[in-house]
Amino acid sequence: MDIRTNASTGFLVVLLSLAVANSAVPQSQGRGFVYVTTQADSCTQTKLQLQLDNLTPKPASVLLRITREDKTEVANKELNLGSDGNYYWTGLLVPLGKYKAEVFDARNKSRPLGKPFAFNNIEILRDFIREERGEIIYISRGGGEKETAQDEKLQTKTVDGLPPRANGNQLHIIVMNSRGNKADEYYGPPPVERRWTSKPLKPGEYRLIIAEYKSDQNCQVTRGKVG
Amino acid sequence: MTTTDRKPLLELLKDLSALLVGAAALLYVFGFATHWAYFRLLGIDINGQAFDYLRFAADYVTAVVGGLPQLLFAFVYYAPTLIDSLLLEITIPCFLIAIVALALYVRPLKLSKLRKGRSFIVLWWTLNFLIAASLWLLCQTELDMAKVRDILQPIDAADVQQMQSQLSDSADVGNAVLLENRARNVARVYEKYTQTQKGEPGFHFFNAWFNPTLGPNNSNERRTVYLALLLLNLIVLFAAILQLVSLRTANADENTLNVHERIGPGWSRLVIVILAVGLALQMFLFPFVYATVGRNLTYPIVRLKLTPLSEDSGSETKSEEPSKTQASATQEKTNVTATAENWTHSVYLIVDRDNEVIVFDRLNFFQVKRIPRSRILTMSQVFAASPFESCSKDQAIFTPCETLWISEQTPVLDF
Repeated sequence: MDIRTNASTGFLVVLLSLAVANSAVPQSQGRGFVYVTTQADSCTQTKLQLQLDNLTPKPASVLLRITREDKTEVANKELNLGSDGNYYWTGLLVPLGKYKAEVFDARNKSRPLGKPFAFNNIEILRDFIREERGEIIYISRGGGEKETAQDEKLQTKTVDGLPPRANGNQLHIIVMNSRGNKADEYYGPPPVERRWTSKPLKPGEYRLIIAEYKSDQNCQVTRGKVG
Repeated sequence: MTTTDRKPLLELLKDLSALLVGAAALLYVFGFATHWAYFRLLGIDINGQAFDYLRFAADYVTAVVGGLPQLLFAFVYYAPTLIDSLLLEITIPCFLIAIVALALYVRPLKLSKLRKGRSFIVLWWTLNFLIAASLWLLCQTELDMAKVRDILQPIDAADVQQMQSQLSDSADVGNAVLLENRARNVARVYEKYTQTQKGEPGFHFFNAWFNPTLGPNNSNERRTVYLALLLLNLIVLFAAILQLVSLRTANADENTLNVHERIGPGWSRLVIVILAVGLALQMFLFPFVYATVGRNLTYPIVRLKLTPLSEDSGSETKSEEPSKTQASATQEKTNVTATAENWTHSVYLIVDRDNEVIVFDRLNFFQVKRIPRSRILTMSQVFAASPFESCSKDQAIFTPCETLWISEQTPVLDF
């Protein structure tokens, strides 16, 4: 009888433990729905807001993997749940364009929490068009000499007087049209001759954004026009 | 009065018929302009018929005439809009127009002693300048308002594609979860629009009048702007007509000043042309105002029972004249489908025509669908609501109205 009682008690304890353990696991058996919003962060950095639906409760942390169209990995980072119920990631995504965000379970990194969500961070340029970026210094820049390309209708745009190469600083140059569409882009160390020439572009006036990322993580944006 | 002064009956009838034809033509033009402006606003390409134009003209005239008593009795309701930043720069000259016109033309107030003097002419010219300035400002504002368009589908195509992709292959997820997610996606579409379209033409007005996630009382906003603009237009219209009448030489007698003679025929013609062109422009722009802010944008929310698409498309390839056998076959088909669970989810009924209905399926990623009448077996109106308002009792949360009054388990399928 005692043996039976002990066995029953043990069985109940095991059941109870399983129940407790099960309740501690987030009820995220169903698949989630991912939604990603891009926002402009400081300089030309991109801030991603990740919304994860259909997972209750939401995981305290998730793993975000960002890949380019050619499937090369750009970022792989664990994100914590924000107070507003969303996850946030900030970083430099260059070249501006189409990326894919995939969200995985932080504890089981091979388990996706939803389907990949493709986004385009060229949208952050709209803030520059609207001239809402407070940290930008206005200067009159650009123009310079024009080089005629093979096709007479296209012209290259030259930007000179760029910041000098120093302490591993990086330049992010974006040429865009008046509608906020990217026309050309450069990311890398400042050219030695402090001059950058765009690819052949259609005639017209273009807006120019030059972001200098310094080694101390500071950055400065200069805005101008090239005609 | 001598008999020679009287017009013969035939002449009178001719005048009357000319007047009627002119009025009918004007109504037709109003109807056409309103119809065009309304569907341009909604972003639906639709070929109107003469009857449609007449119906819209009737709606337009009713809205203008019905608005007249409201201008008096609901002044407190729309007065704040008159001094709002949108209309303040028009309200000020219109207010001055009213004062100067009263001084010039209303008998108890008019400057009778000054009528033949220099002051009258100075005031007369002042009134002209004020009218011209007001007409200019009104035209600008109304043309700005006309920049709001495609209000049913303020979508970012790439974003919608990703939302669709998230929901694909979701048979394992319950209908309630999917409905909730689709409702969230509706809100996201508006948020995305707000985020990305800032500064684009018409953005400000879209957000103020048609963005359901931002304005809890969109219809009130629109109504007050409509009444305020109606008042301002009427002030300018009456003042301009008085000015034009004052230029008629036939009116001049010893008690009134012959303005035409005083300012000279050249200036007189110039004023007539400017006022006439300005008034004509206003007459054709105001239907846009009516279509944008004056029209009621509440639509029936309906559920449709449809014939399956494949069967229907198959039957359409057959002869157009329904034979007896076809009719019985249709009857049989109806009986079969009536038992099936093929009621759609809730959609907005935008246009109900003889050959088709146009519905706004917002839960299916803002689709505007044209459904042939032949596909519709039954249509059930659930209730009526505006897609530009939230049906949530909590102002901070946006709830699309079409998600209510249906079961949470209702599947949202493309049809």
